[in-house]
Amino acid sequence: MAVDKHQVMAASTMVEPDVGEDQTHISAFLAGDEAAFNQLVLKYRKPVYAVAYRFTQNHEEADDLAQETFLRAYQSLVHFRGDSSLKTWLLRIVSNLSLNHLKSGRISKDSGGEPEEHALAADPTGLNQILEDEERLALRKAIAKLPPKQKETLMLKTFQDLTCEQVAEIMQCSIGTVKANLFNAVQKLKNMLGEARHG
Amino acid sequence: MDKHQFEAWLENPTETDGDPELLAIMNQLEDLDHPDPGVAYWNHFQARLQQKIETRGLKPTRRHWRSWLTWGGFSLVTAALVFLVWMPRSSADPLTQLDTEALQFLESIYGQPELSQAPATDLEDYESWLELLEPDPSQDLYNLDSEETQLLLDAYQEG
Repeated sequence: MAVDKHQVMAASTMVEPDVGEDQTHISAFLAGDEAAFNQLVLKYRKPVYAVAYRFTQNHEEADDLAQETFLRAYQSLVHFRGDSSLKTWLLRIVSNLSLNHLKSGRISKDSGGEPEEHALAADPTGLNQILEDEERLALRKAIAKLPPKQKETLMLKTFQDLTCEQVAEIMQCSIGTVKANLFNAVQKLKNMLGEARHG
Repeated sequence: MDKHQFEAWLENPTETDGDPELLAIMNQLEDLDHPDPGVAYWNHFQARLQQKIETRGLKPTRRHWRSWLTWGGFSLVTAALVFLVWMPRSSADPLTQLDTEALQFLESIYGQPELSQAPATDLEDYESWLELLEPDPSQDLYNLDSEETQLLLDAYQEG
C-alpha cells in the first residue's frame, strides 16, 4: 500500500509545475491585468490553505494565513525573480507566516466563517470526526511539541509531493539540513508516541 | 534505522527497507488531512481577498496630473525653482555677498582704504574688484624712468 503511494509521489515529482503558464499570468498581472492574479489564486489557494492548516490545525487560522499569503504575494510579485517555482515561493510565504503565527500565539479574529460550518461542509455526517482515533490525536499532539524547524520540515516534506530539494528551497537551507531535521523529528515523534502508549 | 538509512529511504522510499515504526509515522503524517472547506468557502475566499486588496489600498492607480497638486509636488517644484534662480546668481557673483566687515578684512590685507568705502552693490563684477586690489599699470610708479627709480631705491636703502 505504502509502495503504491510512494510510486505515485515519485511519478508526480517528475511532472514539472506549469512554470510557463505561471510566468504568463505574472507578466500579465504586472502589466496591470488584475484577472491574471485571480487565476494564480485559483490555482494555488488549496495547497496554500492546506499548508497553513497543517501548521495550525485550525480552519479560521489557516484561512487567515492563506489570505495574508496572497496579500503578500500581491504586493511582492513584482520582486518575484523566478529562481524557484511560484508554488514554492507561495509555500515559503505561508510556511513562514504560519511559523511566526505559532510563535506569537496570536488568535485569529478574521475568519472565513464559523468553523463548525466548514467542518460540516467537509464532513456532513460528522463521521470523520468520530473516526479520528486516539493514535491520530496523539500524533497531532506530538507534532505540536516538536521544535519549530523540525515541525516545519516535517509538515512540508509530508505534504503533497514535495521533495527534499523543494523543502530545502522553501526553507532556504541545505538538503542535508532537511534530511537531518526530518530524521530528528520522526525519532522524537516515535519516542513521544511510545511514551503515550505506555504511559 | 540510523540517520543514513533514513536518508537513503528518503532518496528511494521504494527500494530501502527501514524501521517499520518510523516509516509508519511518515505514512501517517502523509495521511494527515485537512478538511475541504467547500465550494462556497472558496468563492467567499476569493471575494474577501479582493476586498482586502482594495481596503488596504494595494491596487496600483494611474497617477493623474492633478495628483501632483499636493504638498509633496508643491515642495518639489519650489525647491527646483529656488535652485534654478538662486544658485547660479550666488555662484556667479560671490563677492557681492561680502558685508562691511569682510571688506574691512580685505582692506587690512591689501591696504586699500577704498575697499570698505565702496558699497558692495556698486561692485558689479569681479573685474571691478581686481581694479581695486591690484595696482593699475597706468599709475605713476609704473611710469618712472631709470633716474627716478634709482632715486627711490637709494632713499629706500638709506632708511
